[in-house]
Amino acid sequence: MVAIARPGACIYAGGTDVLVALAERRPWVRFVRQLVDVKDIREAKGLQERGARLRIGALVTADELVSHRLVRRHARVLAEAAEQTSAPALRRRGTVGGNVCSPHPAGDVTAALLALDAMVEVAGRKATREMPLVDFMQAQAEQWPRQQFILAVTVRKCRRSAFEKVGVRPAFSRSLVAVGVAAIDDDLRITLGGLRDRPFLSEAAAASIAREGGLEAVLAAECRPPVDALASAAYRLRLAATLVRRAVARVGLR
Amino acid sequence: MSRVARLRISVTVNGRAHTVRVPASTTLLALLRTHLGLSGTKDGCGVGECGACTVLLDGEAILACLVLAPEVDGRAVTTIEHAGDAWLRRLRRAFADEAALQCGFCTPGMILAASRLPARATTATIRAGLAGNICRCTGYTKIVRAVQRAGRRRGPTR
Repeated sequence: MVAIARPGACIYAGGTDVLVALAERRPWVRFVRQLVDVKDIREAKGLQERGARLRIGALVTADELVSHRLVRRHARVLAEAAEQTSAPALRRRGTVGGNVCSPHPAGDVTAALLALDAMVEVAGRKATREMPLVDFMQAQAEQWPRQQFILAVTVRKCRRSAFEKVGVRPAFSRSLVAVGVAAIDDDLRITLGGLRDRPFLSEAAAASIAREGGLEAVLAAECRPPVDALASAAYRLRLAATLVRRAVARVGLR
Repeated sequence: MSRVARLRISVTVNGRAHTVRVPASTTLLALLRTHLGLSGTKDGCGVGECGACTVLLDGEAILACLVLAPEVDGRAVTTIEHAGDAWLRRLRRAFADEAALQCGFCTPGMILAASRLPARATTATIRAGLAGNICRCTGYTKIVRAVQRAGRRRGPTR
């Protein structure tokens, strides 16, 4: 903790983001004078059941999410998101904590975590605070690149969840659209990635599924899809509707 | 950047122990190529997008451009130069026999990534396992065929 708090210190875990940013001299790493490797911190390792939730250490890699028995059973949306993100060698190194702390607009893993009502354990000088992932992401967006050290995320266990994405190819491909769906108790949670500056939970999309209509209109109102060389806004919206329906069908609701 | 500390790193590469003093910010890729003179591992993009620098770290296929030298202290690295490994030899032979390379720049990374796949992998498994390794000339059909050929030769024992 002391080392991380030093000016110029930057948290270093999987390195798949920080090392790329340093190599490419991105503006947000201009402050970095020192990398602090946190991979030996015990509290940030491992994956356990905690009542109705799963505690996933911040150092758990994407690869571990894909293959872990508890994730496949209780957080399938997360296993599927991890499996489709990035490329094999990077999934062996990239961590849950890094995925949460780095603000990627189409973050597959964060979209899945939001669907599972994730909470974040943030380490402080005196005590660990717990806060909803959605609030943490808001704070990160406002204060970037101020660093928070995450010890773990916890997610609601859930037997019915699914992830869908479309990118331009299977590996190394940022999602054009990513969709996470989880049915928790009687609550259907739908999250969307790639359609705003960061992944978000769409209650209106879930409501439109419940009343069997108006999904396209809801998505058009809720999303601000980017337009680039890969796809138009209209294409992304249509894709989102298709992926939402596909994911909902897979969790067995409609 | 301010002054970078130099650290003493002890690492076993292809079964041989090395000790070097390098700046803490040195990547494993630079350690192998510049400091140890092992230029078989290729420096493609330097930012984890091409797979050319794939090596094994304690038996796990990772990208040498995204690992720092201090992280490999006390650990074992395997590169394409490793002569003692029969499975790597068989893969190299199969890539040659299938003409699965043209310029050869991606080949070391392809072979190291392929070396961690199951011997009797399906086409789909091979393609998924090599999804992070980009080839800009041969195309992937012959590469997949080479990996399958090596697996057949490896026999059912492993």
